Amino acid sequence: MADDLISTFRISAAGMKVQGSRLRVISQNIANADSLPTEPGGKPYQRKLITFKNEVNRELGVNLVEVNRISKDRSDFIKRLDPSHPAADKDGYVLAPNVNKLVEMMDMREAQRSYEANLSVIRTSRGMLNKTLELLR
Amino acid sequence: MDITNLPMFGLIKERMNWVGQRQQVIAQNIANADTPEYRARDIKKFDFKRTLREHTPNSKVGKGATMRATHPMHLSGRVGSIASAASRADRKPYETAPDGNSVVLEEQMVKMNEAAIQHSAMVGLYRKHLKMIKLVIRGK
Repeated sequence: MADDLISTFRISAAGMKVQGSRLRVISQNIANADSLPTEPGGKPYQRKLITFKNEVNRELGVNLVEVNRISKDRSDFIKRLDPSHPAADKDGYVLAPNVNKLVEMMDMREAQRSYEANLSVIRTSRGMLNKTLELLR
Repeated sequence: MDITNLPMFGLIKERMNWVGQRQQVIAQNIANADTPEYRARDIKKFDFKRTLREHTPNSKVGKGATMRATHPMHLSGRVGSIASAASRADRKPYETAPDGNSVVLEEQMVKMNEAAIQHSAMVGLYRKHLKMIKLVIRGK
């Protein structure tokens, strides 16, 4: 039984780790929300996406969640009218990153909630283990 | 009567085993709350009747469900304990996200608290039982 509860710590820690990676990607997206190209025809910052997968950990014999891959969002860039910009094309448009700050904020909140959920699993398991150990007193 | 083999303790142990395993499955679900195509899992319900039968070999309830071994090569004839219950995907999840993930954090939180309460009930029972035995030994 103790084995189950102890492996719970590892499972939840893995969950917290991937949420941390997710937050890193989100912060990168938000920080680069205005990374415009410097010359006409240049590409702006492309939004990044992160996906997870559940993989068997042979050492522990349980499944731990990990980052599947960090890929680029292939959706269209936003066109912004700014004729004075050095990267503007002949019609006066500049390509801006396909980052929607609102979406990133929602993602951030979701990552935070998932992180907290994992943390509370650790807290509960710890409480259960402590109660079992108290039997020895 | 062997003090380490009391049916009450056996039952409590089995139940705690089950709760610990369920907690592990719940942790797995919560860690995978954002994994595409992941389906929430749960383990089989604790079968009280069967466990009770397994742990009370010669009583009114038990009626000697375990077979007597008269030869060292005999198998015990006991069915596998509940502790080895395998986890399986929930048949009826609350909802499934467009990416195929069926973990609902609230549901898992409820289950987790359930497990914690059940665990603390078992610890309390264990302690009470131990106290009773001590009382008998001390005789005061």
